[in-house]
Amino acid sequence: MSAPTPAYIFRKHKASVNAITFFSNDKYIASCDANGIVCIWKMKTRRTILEWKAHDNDCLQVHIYGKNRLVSQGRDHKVNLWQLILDEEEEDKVPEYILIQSIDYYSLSFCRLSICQTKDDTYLCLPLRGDTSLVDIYSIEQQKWIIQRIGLKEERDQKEKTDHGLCMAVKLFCLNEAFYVLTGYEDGSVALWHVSYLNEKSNLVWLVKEHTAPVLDVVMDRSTLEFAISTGADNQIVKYALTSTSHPAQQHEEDYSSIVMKKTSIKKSGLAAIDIRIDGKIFATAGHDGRIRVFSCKSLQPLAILSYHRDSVYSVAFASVLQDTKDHWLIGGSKDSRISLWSIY
Amino acid sequence: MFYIYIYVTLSSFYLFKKKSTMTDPLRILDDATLPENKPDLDAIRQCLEQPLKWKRTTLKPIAWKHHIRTIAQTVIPNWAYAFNTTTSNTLRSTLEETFLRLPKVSLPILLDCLSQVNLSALEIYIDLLKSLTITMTDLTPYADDRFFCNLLCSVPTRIANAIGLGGTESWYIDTHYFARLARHVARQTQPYGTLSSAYAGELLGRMIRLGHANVCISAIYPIILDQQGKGWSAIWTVIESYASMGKITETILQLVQKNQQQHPGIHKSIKSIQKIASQLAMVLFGVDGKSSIRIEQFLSFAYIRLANASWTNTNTLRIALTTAIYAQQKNVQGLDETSVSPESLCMVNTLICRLIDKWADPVFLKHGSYKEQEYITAGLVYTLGYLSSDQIETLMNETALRGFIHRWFEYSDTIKMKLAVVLAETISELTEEGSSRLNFGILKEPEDSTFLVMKTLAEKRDALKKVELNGLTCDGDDDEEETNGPIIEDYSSPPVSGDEQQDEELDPDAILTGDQESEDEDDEFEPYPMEESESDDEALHGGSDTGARKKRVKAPVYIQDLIVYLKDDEDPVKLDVGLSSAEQLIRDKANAGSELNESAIELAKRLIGFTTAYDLENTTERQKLSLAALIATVPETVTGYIIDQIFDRNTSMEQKSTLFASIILAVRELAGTSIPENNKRQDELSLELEKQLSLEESKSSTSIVGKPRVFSRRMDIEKKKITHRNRLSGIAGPVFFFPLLVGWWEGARGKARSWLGRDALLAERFVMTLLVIMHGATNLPERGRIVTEYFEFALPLRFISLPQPVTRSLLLGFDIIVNVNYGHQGDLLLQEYPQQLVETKNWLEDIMEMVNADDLKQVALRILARLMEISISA
Repeated sequence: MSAPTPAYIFRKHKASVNAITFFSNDKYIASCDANGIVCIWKMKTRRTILEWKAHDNDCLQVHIYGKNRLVSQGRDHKVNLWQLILDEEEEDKVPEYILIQSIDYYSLSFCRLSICQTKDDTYLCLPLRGDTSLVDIYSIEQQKWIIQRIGLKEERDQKEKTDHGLCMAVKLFCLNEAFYVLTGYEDGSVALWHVSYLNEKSNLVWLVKEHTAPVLDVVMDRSTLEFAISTGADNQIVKYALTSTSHPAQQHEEDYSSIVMKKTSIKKSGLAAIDIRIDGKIFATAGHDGRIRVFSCKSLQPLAILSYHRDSVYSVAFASVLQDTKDHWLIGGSKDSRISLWSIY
Repeated sequence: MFYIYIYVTLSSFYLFKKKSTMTDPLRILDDATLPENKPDLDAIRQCLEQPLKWKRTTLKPIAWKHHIRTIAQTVIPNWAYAFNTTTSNTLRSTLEETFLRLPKVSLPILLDCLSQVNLSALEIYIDLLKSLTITMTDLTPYADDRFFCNLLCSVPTRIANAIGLGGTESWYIDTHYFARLARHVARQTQPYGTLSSAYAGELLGRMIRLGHANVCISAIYPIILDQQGKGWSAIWTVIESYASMGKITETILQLVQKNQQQHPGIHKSIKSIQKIASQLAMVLFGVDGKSSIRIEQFLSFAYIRLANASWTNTNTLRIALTTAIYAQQKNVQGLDETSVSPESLCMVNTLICRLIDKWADPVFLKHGSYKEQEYITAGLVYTLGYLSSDQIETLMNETALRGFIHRWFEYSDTIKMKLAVVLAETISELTEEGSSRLNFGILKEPEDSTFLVMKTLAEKRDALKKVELNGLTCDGDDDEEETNGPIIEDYSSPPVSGDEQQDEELDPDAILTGDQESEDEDDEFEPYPMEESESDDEALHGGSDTGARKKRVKAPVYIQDLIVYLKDDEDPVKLDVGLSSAEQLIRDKANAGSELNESAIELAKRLIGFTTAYDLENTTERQKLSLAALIATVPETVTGYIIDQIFDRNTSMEQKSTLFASIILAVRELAGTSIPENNKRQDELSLELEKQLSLEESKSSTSIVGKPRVFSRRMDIEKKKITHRNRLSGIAGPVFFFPLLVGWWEGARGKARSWLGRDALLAERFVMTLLVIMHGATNLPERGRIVTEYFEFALPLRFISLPQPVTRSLLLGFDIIVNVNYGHQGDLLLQEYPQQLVETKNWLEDIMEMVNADDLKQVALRILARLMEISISA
């Protein structure tokens, strides 16, 4: 087995690629860049089929939900929802995009939005107020911010003035008809909030500070929701236990050693993004040193270092199709405006 | 009447008759057992069983004594086999019953019989003794007879004498025996039993005096606790009249502490100390009655006499004082920061006075062991914590502790010095507000952690901290068992093992699962080959390429940069670059905006506190030059701060002399008297000053004879120069001279806590600094005021015995006044300062009469000559 090389390099963007994602059974890739351009790539041909300026400014995040609906988050204080019409069934159909909704927010931080789909609604989670550690949840169907100021502590806690700084990363997930919000803060702490839809109040499940520098990304294992992993501007990777979420009451007063499952550190500091494969076995990190690193989720042992990019990697994403007969894809988007495609494990 | 008499006589006769009839059968029975009568087993049995059926009141003590003696001395040795066979259990129990009937009679006889050599008989004796002493739960029969105290205490020795050493498990091994006996005594004291406190006290006292303090006290401790100490105050008083209070204090403290150490978790917490202390107070001082004297004795033993014991530590101190305070104010619950009763305060005060006496004892200082010195110092620190700042202040004035601290410093022993530092800093912390607190900066983590911990003792005040306290009474709460339990050291029965319980609490599975998890981490993924990249974090810490990095550190461009450089104690390269570029940077910024003015004080702070951790070249020299440049550039802003630092006692002597040196350099620069590089060697003043300024050469410099020509030649040179504006104008007095004097006076009057005058070297340097300023102010309008101030400063000092170098520099000041400041204005001098000149003259004449002061005489002579000259010309 030799060191992996990229299977393909996608070149179209003219600015740093901020986010990428597979969608529609890995048939397409969506990516966005610092110029506000969103591209839709077709995996089969490895060409762009759609390319448009979604935002006037930096576009931080793209997500696909529902039936080819795309969410793009820009630093022009807008989150835009687009309807994509793609050539899935009919090859000769001209792909299109239609703006269906635009949500205003104060884009002062670099926190990328998180999306969570339930049976009848889709929720977005991001800091509405910009320069704050608080995050808010928006319901796309109801077209309103349904829960606000998650992360606001109870009054007695506020007196302690433990300011965690800006919210740097957020992940929203739904379990047992309750929201859980995983947040990473500027001071290096990671917190899990339990949000009850009914009383719109957020309870801190746990808060752990393991990073010595701002947290840059957090992600949870989507298949089992058993653990979460965070990366930061320091060289640490920390794995947290999510299983205690079923008993949210007062756990933050307990010993944190039960929350942090494992820690590891790498030689270079700065891991901008992280993604866990759908099977929860491996995860990849996007390094400021231009390398994508692959680790085992169980042991946090490094499995591969993918070197191609000449500049910082800002985003990584695993494909969702894991058939033995097909390649298991991993993509990384970099500041050098290229997207690399890798076949891993 | 006659009838009555007859009746009485008859009845007494009848009674006598009846008694004698009861005695005789006993004697007959006894006689039947005598060997000459050839008794059989039945006779023996009858002799034992028959008397037991008779009423106790009908027996005469003498007859009974005879009966017992016969049994012990005749029957048992001869019939020992009969008592020892298994079938004769009834016989054996009858025997026991006989002996137990009147223990007071049986015990001495049995003890006498121990000299018997018959081994099987000996066994019976010992068994009987056992039932007569420790198996008997009621000691009342022996009560109120001091004779039996001795007998009871002698049982183990006598048995040991008779049979040699038995097995360690035997009941008559003294540790077992005394533990059980003590427990019996403790349980039966009034009001719980019938033993009088005098008797119980005597018995326990004797046992303790025999050297079984440890055994006895550990046995009775839990019992007293159960009884809530009722009546024990009196018992302890009796005990202490037999055994020494010191022994008891030592034993009980050791016991309590050993118990505390067995629970590492609760080891040092205030709660545990409070709990132990409240129990101890109850056990040792009871809940009733006044025991102030005993408490004071207890404290004095715990704090002073136990100083040398190997097991004592700060915990002992904490427990002892807390106990004493609790004992003094019986109501523990209500204690808070303010409610130390006057009695307790008085007690603490007495203790502190004793400790100070001990601490100040030169013999203790010189010959005491380190352990002892540490213990006493820790004791002082801890007890001082209980006093308010005013009280400490009063104490300081009453005892002159400050002077004693100086005495400790005088020893060149680091440990003694550090102990004195601990005490001095503690007193300062307790009496002074934040910034003015003394901080020698000598104690550093981690090597001095013992001393730092000792310092924190002052804040403990265990007796006053509000902690929820359950241990006061013994009625059940959960914590009781863990605290009381281990103290009970049961010598007769194996203790319920606490270890077993602990073992059960450990859950081996919890650990194992963790281990297993980490072991079976073989992933299904085989790692791809990975290129090894150099870690940038490692590179940061690596020392190999410091040389390469050194080049990269650029000289700072802004004052703020410079401050950052000087702040970076971790990076010697930056410090080096910062210090090197400081002087030039400061001069560059001299007239460039407000940058320097704004950061001057911060910069001065950094320059003064420049770390000496790295062995950089010429640190002091560069520091001095940079500070001089700073003072010369922004005198108004920074000089005040510098002078404050000189008089701050947290500035080291080296720093102070550096500061003096930089002030001198700066003043000379401002006055325009500093000589360009190429001319330097001609300037003798410079040479003289340079010698004065270097710390190392200071000794030799003082031996150099004063040179009046220094100044006159300087004048010559100055005459040749082009006239410059004297930049000292307007600041020589208000900025330099007067603030320096203010600092001096504050120290001298005792307002500031340290006085420069105490140190010869600094005092000399201080005077020299004044002289340089005065010299520089020759052509300034402030001259008059400065000279007046100098006279005021210098003349009173003639009455103090000063080191010669200081006197010499003071004289040099007069020299400057008469020869430089008023060099050509002798008349004016005479007009303005007639009184001062007369005083100066008197002083100088005094000096001329001194022996061994050739140095001074030379200078004095010169001034006298000049004074004569002035007076003649006037």
